Amino acid sequence: MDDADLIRGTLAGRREDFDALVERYQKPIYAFVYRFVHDYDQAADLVQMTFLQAYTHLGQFAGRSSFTTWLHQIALNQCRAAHRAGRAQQYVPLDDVSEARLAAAGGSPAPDSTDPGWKPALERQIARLPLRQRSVVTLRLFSDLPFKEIARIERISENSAKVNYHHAITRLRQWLRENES
Amino acid sequence: MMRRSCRTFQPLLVDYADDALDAPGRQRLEDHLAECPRCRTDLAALREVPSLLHRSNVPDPGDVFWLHQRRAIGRAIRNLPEPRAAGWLDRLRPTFAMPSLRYPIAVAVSLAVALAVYRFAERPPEMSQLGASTEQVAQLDNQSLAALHDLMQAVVPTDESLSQGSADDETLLAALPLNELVGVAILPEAPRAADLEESELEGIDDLIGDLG
Repeated sequence: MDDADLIRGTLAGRREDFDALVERYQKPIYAFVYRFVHDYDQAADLVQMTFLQAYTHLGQFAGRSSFTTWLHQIALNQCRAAHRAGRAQQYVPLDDVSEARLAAAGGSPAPDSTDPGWKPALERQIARLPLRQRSVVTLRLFSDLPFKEIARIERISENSAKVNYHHAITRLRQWLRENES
Repeated sequence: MMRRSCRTFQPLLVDYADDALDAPGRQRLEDHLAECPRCRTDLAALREVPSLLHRSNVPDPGDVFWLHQRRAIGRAIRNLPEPRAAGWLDRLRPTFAMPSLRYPIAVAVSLAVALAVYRFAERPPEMSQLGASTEQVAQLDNQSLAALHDLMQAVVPTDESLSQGSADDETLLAALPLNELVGVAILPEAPRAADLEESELEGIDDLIGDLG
């Protein structure tokens, strides 16, 4: 059954159809939320709230976007609400970066793209980006959504989504360079 | 310092790094890259950083976690009212909530209200006070309206204006037939009352009756 069938079934009162939607999308939504908040427990809570919101407002899903885009939009709103409430603030200790680099590269100052120690540090650095840049990068790189869908989720133009992505990537690159020296 | 033109190339750089830029855009960007070291650096970043991040995965919490979460969601939705398909009004609501449409709609509604108020306020108050019908007013030009107003002041004088008027004025008014008086005052170029058809005189009588 495709998403549209399961949505129709849910609206007709078949809760097991919504269970099927949860099973289909809980992992990608969890991955998206986790990358936003970098906290397992909070990510689990936000995923649950995302699906409850989706169930409550399922009748308003008009099919103008894909169901996964709509779910990501709800998840992003949950992340933002949590951020506003101060519960998603991530304080990434900069020391982590040095430790990762030293541990993986044996004290070499130059980061290596094959160095697995840089990935978690760089990923945590995403949590320090401004909210919009963070969500655009996360949706693009980890949820593999096209910019058109990202623009729809963010309620901005596609061009603006690309500009935000550009700023985020160059900022992350700058952070890498600063830690090289 | 970033040049203004570099900003316009930022979206193109993103597409170029994704190999999603069309041929004309590609040519334009490559011409720019040939002379802009900063954009070349940005392009390198757009290729390098995603490759660092793209392969990383969120650690899987395990099957027990996923099952537990599905059950928790399933239990929670049993306590919620069943969702229903939205009506046409609910489906329109997100459209009106879109930022791109919100302001045009607000401006259009404001203009409509302002136009309605303007048209209502523009009605000459003296006409409504005189009690003339819309059709009658529409047939009169401004000069005739002013003359009619003056005439009404003369025909139905206030106590104050009557005391100030001369005896000759009163005599003159009393001597003239009202129909003829209106013809002279309103339509200076119009024929005298004696030249008018009876039906036309009746029309003027009706008009005077309405105004009175």
